[in-house]
Amino acid sequence: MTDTFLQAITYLFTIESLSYLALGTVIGLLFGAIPGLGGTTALALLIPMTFGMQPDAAIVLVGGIMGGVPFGGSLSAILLNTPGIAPNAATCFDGYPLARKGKAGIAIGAAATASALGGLIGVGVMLAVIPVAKAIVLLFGPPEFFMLGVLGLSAIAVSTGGKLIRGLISGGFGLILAFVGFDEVGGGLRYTAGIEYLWDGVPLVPVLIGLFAISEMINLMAVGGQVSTGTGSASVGKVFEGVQAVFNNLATLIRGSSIGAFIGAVPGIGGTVASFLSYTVTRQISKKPESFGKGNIQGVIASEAANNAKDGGSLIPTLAFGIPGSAEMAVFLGVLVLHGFEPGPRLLLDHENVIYGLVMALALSCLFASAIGLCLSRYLVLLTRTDVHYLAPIVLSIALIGAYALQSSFGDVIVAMIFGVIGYFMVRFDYPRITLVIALVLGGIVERSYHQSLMMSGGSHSIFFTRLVTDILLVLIVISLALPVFRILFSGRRKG
Amino acid sequence: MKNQYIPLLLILLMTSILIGAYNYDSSARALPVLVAVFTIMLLIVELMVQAKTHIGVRVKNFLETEDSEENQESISIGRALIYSVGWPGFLVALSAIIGILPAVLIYIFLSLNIVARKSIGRSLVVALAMTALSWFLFEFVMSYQLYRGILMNNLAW
Repeated sequence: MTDTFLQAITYLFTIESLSYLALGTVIGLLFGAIPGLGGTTALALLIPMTFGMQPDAAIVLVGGIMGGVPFGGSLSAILLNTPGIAPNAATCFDGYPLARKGKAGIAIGAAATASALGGLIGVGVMLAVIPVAKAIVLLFGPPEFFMLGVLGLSAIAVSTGGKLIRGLISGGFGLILAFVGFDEVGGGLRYTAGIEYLWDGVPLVPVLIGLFAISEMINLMAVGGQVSTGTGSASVGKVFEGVQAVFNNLATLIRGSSIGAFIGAVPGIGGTVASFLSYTVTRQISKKPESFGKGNIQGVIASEAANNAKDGGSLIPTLAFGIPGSAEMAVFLGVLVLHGFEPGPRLLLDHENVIYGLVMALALSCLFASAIGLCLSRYLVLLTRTDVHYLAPIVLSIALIGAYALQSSFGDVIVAMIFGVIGYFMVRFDYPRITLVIALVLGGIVERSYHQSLMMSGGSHSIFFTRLVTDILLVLIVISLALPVFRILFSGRRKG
Repeated sequence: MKNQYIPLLLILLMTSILIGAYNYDSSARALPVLVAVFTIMLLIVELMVQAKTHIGVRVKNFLETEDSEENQESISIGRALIYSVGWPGFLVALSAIIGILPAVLIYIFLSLNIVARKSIGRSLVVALAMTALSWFLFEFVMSYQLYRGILMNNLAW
């Protein structure tokens, strides 16, 4: 482990690697600062451009993007009262009032420091969990992976809040898409409609480009206007006071980071819940809860620390079990697939260097993002005033070129555009896209594990219920699906 | 657009997938059939929720399911179709015929000039700059050969 870890560090501190990291961080800051874009769009657009790169370099670039997005989002939240990405919404509560009082610099300094340190704590948690995750993964066979895939799907569908049924429906369509193409078990073709392009299945990356990049641009074009309607000023000063404020509120930082890392590790919950939970807890235990929402610096620290720490946490299920906990992680899995890594336990066991490389890149990018972001903050905020009529056709064109560049296939362009339209209508009619993508990612693993399990048991389904780990996973599946019912019963009793 | 049309449409689609599954052997169709049946059941529940039937209302209350809100209701379905299918479709079709880079040039120019009502000069400058940047980034720096289009391929032939 130590050798692999040192190898990753040695590679990370080369000029090439640091350049990719800086580039990724700037891209992440840019996409994070512009509301409506975010990390998922950035990664989806950038995947094709990493194709010609060495896997290590691509992973570092991706790590830079993932580290840069949250802080980019906090800039527009503080200065314009418009969160760059959803988890930054909690930062608006106190960040914007501070900016209105002429203390934008303090808020940005605190957000930068809390982001960097929160990110580092999240990465620390990830590093501590890797050996444990490896031991757990070794206990897993095909039946366990089948149940784990089902658990991943059900947990994510449940986490879509009041859209449980629509989340599961999207998941169903995602699974059907995963079954398209060559059937590894039977040896035949399924659902290809005679189209040769589909023999290898529905390609993941063009689907991701379509669902997340193209659909967002279609949405922006249809709505029109400016990206942000915020009216705040972009003046920044007294940054160092904000940095100092974080060190004066270390308990808030550590609590927020711990909440972020823990919530991030649970598939489907995501950064929004992490930052709001951290904000709420900090407010509840504060001696001056009434000062929150009026410019309390602890509110900024709590939400930003949690928002950055969640990335380290969310890498745990993604890398160890191949279950992406969020749309961003699903797109990240697309990067791994493009570079020949199969998401799941083999990645953890056979490519430890990739994991450590990513973890270290993420850690360093948190520091880079804060440093670069502080220097560029006033310019990044100006981007949010961009007229979407310029932004949307440009990003749409890059998405189209990127989709083609993946494997020089015009079929990929068509798939990306089709899924762009599907994604737009899914947003419009309130069907979660995340469950469709995660089902598409997990479909292959679920089906393979299902058939392997049946081969092991001679065709008996009892294998899914007679092993200790599958039983534990089954209980977790039942609990996750029953959670909404428990919540209603509990809240009903409380109201009663 | 009435919200119950969406689950209805999806039921038809999933039913055709279910019927299609019976063209494959038993092991190949095992999971597709399971998933399709389960999804159709969910779609029927969703249909009842959206149609506000007696059972649907009870399911909605029990699961605290939200109504399928049609976001951006101010944008008519016709306008949405133009933006979602029309413009991207135009870009893809144009790319297929004349190649990606010329298509990007024309698409950005027209969308700025017609949709955003920017001046011809400004639209042309942005479109040219973006096309040049795309060529530089993808063809020059990354050495990808972007699609030249059916027309150009035929001429080359």
